[in-house]
Amino acid sequence: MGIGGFQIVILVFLLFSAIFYIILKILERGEKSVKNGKSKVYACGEEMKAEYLNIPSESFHRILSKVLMLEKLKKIHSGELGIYIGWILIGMILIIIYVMNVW
Amino acid sequence: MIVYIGAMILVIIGVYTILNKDNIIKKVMGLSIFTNGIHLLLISIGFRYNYIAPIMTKFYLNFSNFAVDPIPQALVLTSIVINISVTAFALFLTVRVYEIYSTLNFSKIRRLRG
Amino acid sequence: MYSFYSIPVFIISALVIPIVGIKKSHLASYISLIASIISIVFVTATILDIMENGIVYMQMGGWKAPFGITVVMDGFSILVASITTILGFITTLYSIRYIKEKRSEYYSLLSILLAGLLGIIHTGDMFNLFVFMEVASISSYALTSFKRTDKAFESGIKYLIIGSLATSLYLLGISFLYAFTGTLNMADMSFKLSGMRGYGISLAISLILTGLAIKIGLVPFHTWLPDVYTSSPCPISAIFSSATNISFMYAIIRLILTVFISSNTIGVLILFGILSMFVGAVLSLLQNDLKRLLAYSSISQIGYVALAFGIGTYLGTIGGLFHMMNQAFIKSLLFFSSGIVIMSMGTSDMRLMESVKFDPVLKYSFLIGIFSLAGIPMFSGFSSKLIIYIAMFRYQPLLMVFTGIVSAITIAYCFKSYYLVFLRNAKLKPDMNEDKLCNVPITFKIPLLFLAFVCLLFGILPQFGIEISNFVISNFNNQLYIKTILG
Repeated sequence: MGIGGFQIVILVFLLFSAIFYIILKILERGEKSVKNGKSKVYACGEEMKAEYLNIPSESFHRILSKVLMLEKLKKIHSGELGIYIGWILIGMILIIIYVMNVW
Repeated sequence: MIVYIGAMILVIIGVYTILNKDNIIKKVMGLSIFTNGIHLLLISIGFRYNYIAPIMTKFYLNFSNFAVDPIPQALVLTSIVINISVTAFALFLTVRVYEIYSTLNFSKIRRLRG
Repeated sequence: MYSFYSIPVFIISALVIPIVGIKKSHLASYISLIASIISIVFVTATILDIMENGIVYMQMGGWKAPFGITVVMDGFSILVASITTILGFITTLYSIRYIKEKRSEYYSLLSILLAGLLGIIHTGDMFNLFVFMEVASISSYALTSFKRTDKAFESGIKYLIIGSLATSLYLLGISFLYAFTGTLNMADMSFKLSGMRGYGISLAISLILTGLAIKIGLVPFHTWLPDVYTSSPCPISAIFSSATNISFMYAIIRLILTVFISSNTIGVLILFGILSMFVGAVLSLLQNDLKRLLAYSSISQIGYVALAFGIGTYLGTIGGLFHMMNQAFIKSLLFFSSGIVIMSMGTSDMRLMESVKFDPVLKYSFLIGIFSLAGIPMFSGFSSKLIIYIAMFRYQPLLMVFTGIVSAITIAYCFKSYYLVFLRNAKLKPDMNEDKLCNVPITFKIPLLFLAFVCLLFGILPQFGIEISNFVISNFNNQLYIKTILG
């Protein structure tokens, strides 16, 4: 592995974060000029108003978890002990199948 | 041979009780049945028909050829002691849970979820 | 073999503390501190001994192997033992001011827990492993329900039923193996199992692996873990997520790689590692409670370690060892600093937390922990995760893509927790206890500073971690182990 590998990766990381910082500054300047009213944004065939430009992170998070059905995993952990031990037995059957094939 | 089948039946009854019954005390009983089945299996591994107990007396100073295996007996003694303390602690927790939730049905004791 | 004598030291202190604690309850913490300092001294002496000799062993009572119980230390054991004793000392130091109840059985139970974990690490006999596993488990059942709230009792009884199911499955597996081989010594069993085949032995090995996997927290067996970490006191959560996890991980790796070496079952950790990484990361993103988020994150990081060990290549094993070491220090740092935050805010729900003027030590140590967990360069998590990525790439490139996706979700929940606790501004409520947040007392500062220093050390100079892992792997030799013990 060596030490040189780590230092090259750190330098690449700093380089990319500098590039992304410059892109962020350019985008912020564009957003400020839209808010001033000096330029317009066209999307989906019509003009967008300034308050629709920034999606707040909480609604983005909620939409993403609904689309990918991540809330179902949270609902499965319902708190009953019987279902929890049922999973343990399913896992034990998986281990038994694996070890019997490999041994 | 029939002792082995009996011990495995006890183990299966124990696991079935922990899975399906709703009362906490029945689950603790199922845990106790499960561990007792394992103890019975362990003792019957070292058993030979018509051999003597592994105790050194005046007549049998060198009994290693015709005595029952003493190692599983030591394992089972240790395990029985551990099992007593776990059961005692489980019953203490049951009393405290009953004082706070006022029910012994495990489907209703679900304040931690997610 | 000096470090074995730290187990009687812990047990004697556990017996003395309740007697002393009747009259003066503040002496209990000092006795526990002295016991952990003595154990650190003993472990350091054994490290110097192992660097000379290779493997150090001792037969209890003078009975020769395979008839007696063997106590063995080699490179892997001494690494795990040193991390456990250091974390035990730091936790005792932190609990002096954290635990407000005057009952002195907390320190007694903590000493028994550390004695049990050290016993798991030192032993060379399979039934001895069962006994020490039970000792550690019973004290952790009692420590979970220490605070006597409703959630603590509920999680205590659920943990008790699942935990004793796990150790009983382990005992069932040992009884089958005793029937097949006739011995209980690890070296002797490894020697005898190399020539055997059969379905019965496969069943026995899978029962043993199931029992140990429940205690670690791999995914279909993880169901007790979030409840226990949420409702136990914060220093206990810290020691569960670091010392207990590492000791049981050591037990399962020792059994798979030394005793069951001829059965090639190292690949069973790949499937459970993949499931744990994904489920842990996704569920941690959806939580509102700070300690539950850290608990699911713990499941995810143990999935990384299991996957890295399961591959079986040299680079994977180095990555797994290094990440196991790092994750112990990072998780305990995060639990300690969130403990101070929760104690002062009065709640652990992140939606109700508002930003006040925090002490810079608290804010920056939490930030260092979050950066290490996410894998930012110059912190310790990056070094170990880079080695795991390279090991995955050489084995199967699809696994590296999957690891990258899970790391992206890791960064998401890391910064979510930091933002919700420290960065949202609001006004100060009148019933908040502000002095603990603004001036952190000295016994809280020492653990935070020490752990943050270790995280930065392994990040800026990763060659220390790689050297330690190299030494452990070069010391790990099955033929030498068997020949040294059996003579």
